[in-house]
Amino acid sequence: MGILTTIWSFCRSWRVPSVISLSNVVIGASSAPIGPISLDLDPGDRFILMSPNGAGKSMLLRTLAGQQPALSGVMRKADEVRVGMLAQAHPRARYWPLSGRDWLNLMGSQCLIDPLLADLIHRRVDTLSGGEWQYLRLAAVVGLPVDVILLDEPANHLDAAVWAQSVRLIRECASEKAMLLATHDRQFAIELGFEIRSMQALMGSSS
Amino acid sequence: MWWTALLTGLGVSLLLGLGGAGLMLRGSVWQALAVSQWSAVGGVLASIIAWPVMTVAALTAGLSLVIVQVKRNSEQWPLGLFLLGSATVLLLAGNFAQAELSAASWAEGQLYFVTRTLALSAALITGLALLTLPFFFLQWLRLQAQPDQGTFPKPNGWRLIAEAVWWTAIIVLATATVGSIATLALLLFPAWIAALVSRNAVQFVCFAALFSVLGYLIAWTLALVLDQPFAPVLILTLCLLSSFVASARALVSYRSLRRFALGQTSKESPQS
Repeated sequence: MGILTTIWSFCRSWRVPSVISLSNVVIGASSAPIGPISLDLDPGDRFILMSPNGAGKSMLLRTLAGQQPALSGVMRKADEVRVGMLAQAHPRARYWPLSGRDWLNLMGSQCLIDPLLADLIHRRVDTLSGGEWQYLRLAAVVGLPVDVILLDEPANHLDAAVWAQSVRLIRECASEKAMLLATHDRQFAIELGFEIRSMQALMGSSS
Repeated sequence: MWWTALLTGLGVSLLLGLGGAGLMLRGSVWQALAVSQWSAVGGVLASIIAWPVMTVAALTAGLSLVIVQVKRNSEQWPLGLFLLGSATVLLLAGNFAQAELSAASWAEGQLYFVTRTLALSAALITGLALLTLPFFFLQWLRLQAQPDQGTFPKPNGWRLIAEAVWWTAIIVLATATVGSIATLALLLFPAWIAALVSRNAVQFVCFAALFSVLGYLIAWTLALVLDQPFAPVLILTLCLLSSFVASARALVSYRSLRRFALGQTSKESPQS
């Protein structure tokens, strides 16, 4: 038994280190805490979070992105890990004089310009439809030179054609990046073919 | 010298045009009201306690900016501070003889009577502000990404403090030179006009500077020729400029729409 434990410890020490690791982390507001949650995101991991509204998916993504502190528990990030995130919504001002190209630049995105994006980058972001705006933001995030990509409801507002294009875009994302998506669109999740997890499962894996 | 006054105002209007574009990108338009009014409070207060005007104005304006930033409230706090600043100026002017004159000069500005010291300060601050502008422009652009998160980290405390100092410096300088009313007009109108016609962020900032300088030059000339106070003439000029640009834009949109409708009709007509 002792030998097995030693071998197991040795194997664990040689596995690819997690880029982000949560251990018994409680998130949310102190009046309505969610957790404890445990999760290891390794390079190349692709997960989809599917849970009912209010389960804490967006809050978890914001915590992983460093936009919101955890209430308790341990969150470890690998040295100089870079995280990109698509928020659930990004309200636009009525007059917002930025072009699609400006958006890609200010995000630091290196995405490939597909035919749909080629049209969007020359237009002002305040003239795009809801679906076009969502696609531009999604393409910008997926094309970020980062280690972890977090996508909160990436299929919002998309019509059938852009929906299919978004599935392709996410699937073609560089394989070494870890990716975590939150969505309510079951068909979108099935098309992507990533492992589906629920918030309950993440809480269940906490010790 | 008339050209010293003209050039000082020209530099200030260029800065305010660029700064106004930044304020609009930052979504902090109301902050300008509070900071400008509190720099006037500082100026009036300095006349009573006989302290250096620019120093006291910078302190009070800086303090108001810090409060607005800490409260992170885009409307109520800036507007509340603006009203409090206006009330303070009125109270000081009503109770101290020297404050009455000072309050009038801070509201109307000293553009046509700019002193050598003020002109030199303006040249120095304008030069420094223009040199550091590219740094702040990138910061304003990158802040647009939130709540999305790209590769650039959120600006740290020092960057935000540097930006606050930049705003305070240009607003205090502008209020001392062209007055609080003209300062607000040059911060707001050119950016609004530029937002109507620009296709991207760089065009937006350039157009805002262009409209600001253009509005200033027209108002400067008209105010001198018609022997009228500068600030009201400037506001009227900028209103007219806004109306002209908005009308031209509406006309272009109407013509594009008409061309599109005609194209649709000609496509349908062979079938009918």
